[in-house]
Amino acid sequence: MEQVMTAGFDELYTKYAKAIYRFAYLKTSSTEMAKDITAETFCRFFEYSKKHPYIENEKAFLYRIARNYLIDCYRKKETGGNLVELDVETIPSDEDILKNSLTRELYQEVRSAMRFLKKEYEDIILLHYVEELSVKEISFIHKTTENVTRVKIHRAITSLKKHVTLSENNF
Amino acid sequence: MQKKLSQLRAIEPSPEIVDSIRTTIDLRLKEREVIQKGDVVSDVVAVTKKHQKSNEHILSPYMRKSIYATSLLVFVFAFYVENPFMVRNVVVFSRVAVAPHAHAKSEVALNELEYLNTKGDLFRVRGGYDALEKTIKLNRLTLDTLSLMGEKGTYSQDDCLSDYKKYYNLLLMLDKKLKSEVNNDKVKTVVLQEKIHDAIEEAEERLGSYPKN
Repeated sequence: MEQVMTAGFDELYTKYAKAIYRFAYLKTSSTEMAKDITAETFCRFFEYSKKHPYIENEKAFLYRIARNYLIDCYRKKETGGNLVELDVETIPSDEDILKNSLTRELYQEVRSAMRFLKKEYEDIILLHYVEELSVKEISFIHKTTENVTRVKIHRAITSLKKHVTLSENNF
Repeated sequence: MQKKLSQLRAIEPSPEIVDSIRTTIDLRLKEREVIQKGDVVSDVVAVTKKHQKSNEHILSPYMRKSIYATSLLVFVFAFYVENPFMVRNVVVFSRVAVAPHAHAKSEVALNELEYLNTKGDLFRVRGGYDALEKTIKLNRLTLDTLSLMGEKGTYSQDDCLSDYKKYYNLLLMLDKKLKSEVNNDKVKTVVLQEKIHDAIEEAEERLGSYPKN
C-alpha cells in the first residue's frame, strides 16, 4: 500500500507516538482505545498540517488533538469511562504496557488517587508530571493563560495529595 | 510525588502496537482521501441539482402554466389546421352530451347539419365527407330518442314535428348538393349518398306517423 505519510510526518510519529499512546492509555485504561485515539490524533494532525504547514509546537498540538478527541469520545459515550471513573479492581493486565510489577503497582496507586480528582485536574497532572509538558504547552492545550494553568497545577496536586492512598513519605 | 508520577513514563506501547497504529493511520488517511474525492463528486451532483431546481423555480408557477397553456393552444391549432371538422365534431358531440333533454340534443345536431349544408366547399375540404357522415349519424341518434308525441314539460309534439321536417329538408338539400357538386372521391360519394337516402327514408317514415302528414 502506498504510504500516505510524508518523511517529516514519519519522524514526528516516531518521536511522539509513544507519548500520545501513553496519555491516551492513562486516560482510558484500554489498549484498544489508546490505539484508536493515537491513530486518530495523527490522522487529524496530518490533515491539519496539509492546510496549515506551520505549526509552532507540534508536541502540544498533538496532545491538544488527543485531548479533544477524548472529549468527543466521552460525549459520544464511545468509551467505557475514563481513568477516574473506572474501578481500581479492573486494572488491565497488559504485560506489554505495564512492563513489570513495579509499574503495575505504581499505576494502581496513581489510579486510586486520581479517581477522586476532577477530569481537568487529572489532565493537568498527567500532562505536567507524567508527560512533562511545560506550563506554556499545557495552557495551549487547555486554551487558558499560563497563570491560570499554574494555579490549576497547584490545585490539582494539592487535591491529589488530599486523596492519596499512598503513604505521605512516598509522596 | 512528582517523581512517582514521572515513573509512569515507563508505560509505553510495544513496537508491534506502534506499527499497527501506523498501519491504521495509513488506512484511515487513504479512506478519507477516497471519501473526499466522493464528496467532490457529490458536491458537483448537488450543485447540478440545485441549478436544475433554480431553473424550475424561475419557471414556476406562472411561467410553467403559461408554457403549458401555449403548448396546448399550439397543439389544438395544429390539429384544427390539419383537420378542421375533427375539432368541430368534438365540440358538437360535447354539446349534445351536455344538453338537458332529447329535444335540445336534436336541435344541436340539426344546427350542425344545417351548418354543413351551408358550407360551400364541404366536399373539397379534407374530412368533409367524414364530418357529414358523422353528423347524419348523430342526427339519427338524437332524433331516435325523441318521443314523437313530445314530453311533458320539455318539448311538445309540434317541436318534434318541426325537427323532423327540418331534418328531412336538410337531407334533401344535401342530397341535391352532393349530386350537383363535382366530387373527386367517387367511392365516398356513393357511400354518403346511400346513407342520406336511408336517412331520408327513415325521416319520411317518421313524418308519416304524424296525423297531419
